[in-house]
Amino acid sequence: MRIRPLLVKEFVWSKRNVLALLVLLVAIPAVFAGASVGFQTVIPTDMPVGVVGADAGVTDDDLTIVEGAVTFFSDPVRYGSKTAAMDALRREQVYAVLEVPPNVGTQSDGRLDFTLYVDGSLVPFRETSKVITTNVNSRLSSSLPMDVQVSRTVVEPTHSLPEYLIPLLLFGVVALFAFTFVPYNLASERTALDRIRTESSLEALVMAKLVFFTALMVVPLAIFRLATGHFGYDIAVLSPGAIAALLLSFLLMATVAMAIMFLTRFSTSGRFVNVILLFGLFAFGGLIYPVGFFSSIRRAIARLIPVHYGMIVARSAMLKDVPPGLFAEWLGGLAVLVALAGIGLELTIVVYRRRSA
Amino acid sequence: MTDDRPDRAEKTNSTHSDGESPLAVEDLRQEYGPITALDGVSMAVRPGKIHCLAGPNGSGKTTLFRTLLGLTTPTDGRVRRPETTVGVGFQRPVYYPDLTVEENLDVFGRLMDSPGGQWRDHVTSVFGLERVGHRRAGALSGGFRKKLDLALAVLKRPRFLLLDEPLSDLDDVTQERLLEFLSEYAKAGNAILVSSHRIEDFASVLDRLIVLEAGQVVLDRSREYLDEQDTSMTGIYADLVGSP
Repeated sequence: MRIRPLLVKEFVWSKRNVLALLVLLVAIPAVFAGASVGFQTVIPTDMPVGVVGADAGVTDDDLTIVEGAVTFFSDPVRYGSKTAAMDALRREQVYAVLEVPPNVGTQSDGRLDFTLYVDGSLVPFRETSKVITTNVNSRLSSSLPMDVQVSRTVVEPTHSLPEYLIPLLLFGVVALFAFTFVPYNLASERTALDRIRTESSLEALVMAKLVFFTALMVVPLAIFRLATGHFGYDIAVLSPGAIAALLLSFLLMATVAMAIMFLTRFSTSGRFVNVILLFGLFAFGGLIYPVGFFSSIRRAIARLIPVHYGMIVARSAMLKDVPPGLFAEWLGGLAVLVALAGIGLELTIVVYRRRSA
Repeated sequence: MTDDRPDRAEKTNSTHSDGESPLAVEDLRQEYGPITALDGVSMAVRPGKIHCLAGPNGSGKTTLFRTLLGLTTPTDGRVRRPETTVGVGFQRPVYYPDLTVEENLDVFGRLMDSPGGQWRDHVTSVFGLERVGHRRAGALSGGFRKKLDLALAVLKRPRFLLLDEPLSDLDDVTQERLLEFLSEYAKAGNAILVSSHRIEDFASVLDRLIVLEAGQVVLDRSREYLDEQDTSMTGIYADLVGSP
């Protein structure tokens, strides 16, 4: 066995592909190692908490006093009505809603009853919310002259961790398909593209692929439905909101993945970029844990990623009894982004045509 | 030699005698940065004739093909494509590698609204694809890949058939069969343009010879004109491009 010449060949190859190796061996490990910092806050200190008056008798002064007390461990967001606050809770914009009784600023003795509403479907937050309740009680008791009682009320159905993970796993399958199989499929057909261009068009080709692959996503949905039924999970895998969120998210991701492939002329680097995007999505998209668990920077990054909202909609629609219109704005936003990504894909096709001229 | 070149090209009419428009280019120019691939090329492909586009490697034949097909946008000049069917065979075979031969014929047949039926059977037979019909196209030998590409080119029975280096990778028997097929196809009133860097490959069947060198048409003459010359077709070609 003559290994040495082959080792030399590997060295020469590595020199020619030094950029890819640097990204793979230096940049990505550095980013992932850095990303781990975002998990250091197990009990968040600046988690968004909704603050809302219990009735019309609650004044702005009452709410301001309470906000000041809870700022120590959260980022309070004031809502004008309980409905708006509870909607924000369902949409994971806040992770708890503190209902404030009247006379916080004027009452000097007796007892005030606060209610902290938490979402029972957010399984990773369940234990944390108990600590938060204790914290709220402690801070308000030390800030206010009267007796304070904070009760924790769980709204929305309570789920097990496996049930909570189902939307995430399903979303993972969809993202994996969009960022790995779709680019592979497109690249494997590059040898047929010139004939497609003469007999039809690249636009027709990508449209057919998007329609077909989006329709294929029904298969994992059905598999998950069968599995959850088999295990007796109380989860609505096939709820319209979840299907819409997953399919729109898939369309968005698959369109972006295809655009990258056209831009890189179906090269290996294109597939590589797509895999990095997939990892980046899971590392920074706030898909697994509620994004309130992380640092403010990671939270800001997650909220810039459109499919983050798709994940919340899918999770909410599967785990909670949400009204149909609650996520209409986000689903509409995803649809608009799909259309914009389609325009972007068309531009990359134009660039591809020019470069292959 | 260079001084003779303008005399070797006939003026081309834009309309065939039977009224059908040719596939034509006028003053075509294609530049890739500092490289000029096509330099003022004018030519026409007419129904009922086999046109042979000859030229040495790198003379611009494939660029001209891609421009005729609309796969390349010329830097300057005009391309006139008739409102009819155009079939194409590529220098490097173009097909779905993961599909079988039959599946490729099915998919592209539907895409091009090909007549199917007897014509498809005929095409499959001409190119000897019957025995590899169920094999994955990507696993075929180079020769069979070329045959599949040629079959796809003629599958829709196009009025204009453009074949870039169609004889490369083909065995002698298939080459002969293809030349016979092309002769019959042209006699049926269809236009054919084939490119080759070996002029003798098509000497027996061509109706018109167009020689391209360094991106310029240095000869565009009918078979009758060529037959009247003292020198053989290969000799004329060698005279123009330096070596056959």
